[in-house]
Amino acid sequence: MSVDFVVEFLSSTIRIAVPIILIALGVCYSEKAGVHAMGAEGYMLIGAFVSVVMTIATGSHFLGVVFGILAAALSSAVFSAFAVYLGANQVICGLGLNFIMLGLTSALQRLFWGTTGVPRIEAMNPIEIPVLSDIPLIGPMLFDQPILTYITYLLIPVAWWIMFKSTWGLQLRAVGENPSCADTLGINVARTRSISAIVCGVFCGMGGAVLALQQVQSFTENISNGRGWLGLIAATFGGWNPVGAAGAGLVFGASEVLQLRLQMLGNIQISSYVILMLPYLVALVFILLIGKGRRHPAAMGKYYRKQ
Amino acid sequence: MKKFFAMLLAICMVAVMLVGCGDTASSSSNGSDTQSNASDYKVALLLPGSANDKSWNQYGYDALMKVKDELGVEVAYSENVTNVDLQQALRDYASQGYDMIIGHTGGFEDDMIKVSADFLDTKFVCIAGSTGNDVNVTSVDTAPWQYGYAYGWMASQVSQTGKVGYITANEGTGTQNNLVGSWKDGVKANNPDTQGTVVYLSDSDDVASAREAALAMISAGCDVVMHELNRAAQGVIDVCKEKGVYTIGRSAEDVAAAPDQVLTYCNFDWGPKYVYLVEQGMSGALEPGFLFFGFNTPEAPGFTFTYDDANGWNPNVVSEEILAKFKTDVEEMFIADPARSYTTEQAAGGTF
Repeated sequence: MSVDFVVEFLSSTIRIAVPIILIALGVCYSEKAGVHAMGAEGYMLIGAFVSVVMTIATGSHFLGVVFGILAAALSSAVFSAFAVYLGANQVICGLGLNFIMLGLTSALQRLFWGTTGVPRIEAMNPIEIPVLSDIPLIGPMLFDQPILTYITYLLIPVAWWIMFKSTWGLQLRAVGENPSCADTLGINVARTRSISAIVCGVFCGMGGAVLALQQVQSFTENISNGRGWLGLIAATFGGWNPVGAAGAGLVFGASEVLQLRLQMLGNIQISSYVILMLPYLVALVFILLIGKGRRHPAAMGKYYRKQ
Repeated sequence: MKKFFAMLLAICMVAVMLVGCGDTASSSSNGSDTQSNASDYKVALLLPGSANDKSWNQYGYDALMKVKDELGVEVAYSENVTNVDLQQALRDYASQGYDMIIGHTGGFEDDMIKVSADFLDTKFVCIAGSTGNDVNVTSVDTAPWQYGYAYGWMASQVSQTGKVGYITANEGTGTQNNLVGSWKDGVKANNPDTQGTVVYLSDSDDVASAREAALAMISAGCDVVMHELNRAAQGVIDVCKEKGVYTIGRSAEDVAAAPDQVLTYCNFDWGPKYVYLVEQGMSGALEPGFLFFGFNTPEAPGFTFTYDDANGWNPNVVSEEILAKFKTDVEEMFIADPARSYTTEQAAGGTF
């Protein structure tokens, strides 16, 4: 096993993992505050779609990312209006949102570009960070990536710090565990929850933008293809802790890469369908090993009506 | 108030799902500008994916439009038909009096055969199918074992590193078996020392996964990476362009996008084949069973390797000498002996 192979393996893992990690971070915020984040896949789709449309319209990746995030945030705001303020069933609302986004992005794509499909856009190129990218092994793997990947690296500790060290983070965890108690202490439960849900939208929108602008370089129907769900599972495995969730996202990325590499091995008489199960098998093993002790936030999915 | 919002949300959801996800569009000619004898004949097409995928489904859609323009028959189509709603869709079209129903994937074959028994006056045509039946189901294919072999042969021929790769999905279907099995044969027939690698993806539309698979192959030393995917093919072509590795395209657009890397694309041009099938259907001459178009089929060629108007293969890579060898070793072999078939074991993934 050569050094090149290891570097290639790990940088591939990071590419695959970054969108999943972003989703997982978002889900941590929403669910830690007691709001199911079933709509992650839908936010990701709308984020990817709008980021591509706006990149084409304005010629700027930056504006594309900003509008992609805004679109996803707006969708999560609509979701929280129903789920947090009106007490609609969060699971049903989230699932419905996924269907709406899949239909909406596919339909708009047809409306704008007919049967020719969405045009290609220029990829966001990797930026080599001087000095750091020269570190053997870790350098080319971590520090020769596009900009949104670096932002993701920074967001992991920031998300952790806000959740566990800031006052707002404490409030967020309080409304997720015991909203009536939080309410008596003067915390605005509905507002804290809806902000958390919108933060989730922001992260997912960015995840969609990473997928569309850094990797696919266009928008294709159902571009997210289940990555939103993997993010949701990663957050659960990470115990709704941003650092743990990011770790779980990395493991999913690695198992996807390993699955491709396993298939390339010489003459193994195993059906590709069995090997393709690997990421999900990893997920199951995770549940068995560490998922058992995991307890979800006590008030997750429960509507809180102010007394 | 809450109930009102809940109702509103429910209505919105249903409306958007119907508009967006259903994607059941239909297009009918109004008949005023068509010949009177032809406008009575009705043809329906069922596509497994979206009509604008620039790949398989779009070939079918474009071919149907050609049938409409050339023969003046009434046409309708449904997109994103899954196996769950397939039987119902077949029954709907047959009950509405469509004379010919075309299913644009081999995956529809079993259900078409089942439903066909209830509608004996309707002709069922399964594109990329493998058997058909003895009554009213005709399965049609473009001899994937012929162009799969040709791709493998050429990959092995132009490779400098002696390592070539193939990325696809849907292991175990008849077409994939023939395609991948023959690709492996072609690689070894050209040069037994060439090492080939086959990877199956879980989804032929996932562009990001396809990119990673292509990168993995290139890092393992492959300098020719071919593919048989739908939307995900874009990922393979992009990576090959970035890394300066040879690949194949799906259309003239792909050649224009990466003229140095794309060797050729298979121009299936389903139009003439669809026209031929519908004409045969209209005259009552369409035989049930299996029918394939390959190298040098007189009614309509199964596929034409196309680089540009003048060349079948990228002239900067594939020399006249190679083309002459290709003609004797591949084309003439299949003209003499056109039929072949491969099993799932022969088409297994991995390095061989």
